[in-house]
Amino acid sequence: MKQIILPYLEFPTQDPVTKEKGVLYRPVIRIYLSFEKRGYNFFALIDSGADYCLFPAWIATALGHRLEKGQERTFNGVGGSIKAYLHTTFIQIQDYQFRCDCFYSRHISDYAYGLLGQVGLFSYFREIRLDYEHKQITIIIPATTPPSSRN
Amino acid sequence: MNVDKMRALQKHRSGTISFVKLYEKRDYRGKFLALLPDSDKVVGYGKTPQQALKQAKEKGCDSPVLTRIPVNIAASIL
Repeated sequence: MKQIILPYLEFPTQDPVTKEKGVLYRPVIRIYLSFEKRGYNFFALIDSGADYCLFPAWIATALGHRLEKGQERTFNGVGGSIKAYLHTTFIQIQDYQFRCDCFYSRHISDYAYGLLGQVGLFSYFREIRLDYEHKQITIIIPATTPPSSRN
Repeated sequence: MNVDKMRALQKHRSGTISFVKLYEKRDYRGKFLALLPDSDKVVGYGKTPQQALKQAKEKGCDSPVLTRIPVNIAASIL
């Protein structure tokens, strides 16, 4: 059984009211996003609570997507609802690339990274283990999933 | 074993990269950064992703990781 093992990344936090500083570990991984002739490395949070993959609008612009030309959709989260636009994008994690209906939103423009959700990441790899104790992410590669290069 | 040693050992085992120092640098707040893959080394930064990418290329890094340092670094529940 093939698997990809990746570490959690460490991020600082600061309470906006008390200004108390802290450190958090998040399952954020490096991914390669591409659309037509453009492709770059970005970070993305493995978010099993997200139904779809969602990225900040600045990533859409970097890839050459015309943000508001995409199909509009509204998503609900704990902080309220946000408007996002659909653009099909290729996502690559190490040697594994898949086509994904990704959403991009201006509402998360301050984010350092996107969110990898159920439709896209989890539907492609099927089994992903998040081991907080050891700060380790294990992506299980299904036997039927062939590696594919970015070219 | 003290907390710092435990953290260092944990990082060594897991390969965790810390972005704490990057986020604490005021110059980077709200800016786009190009990072050397699998490290916290900055190879370019600017007001746009293109500026960060250009600097990275000038330094010989053709495939940096593009990110943005948030203005607000509060913990989040999505």
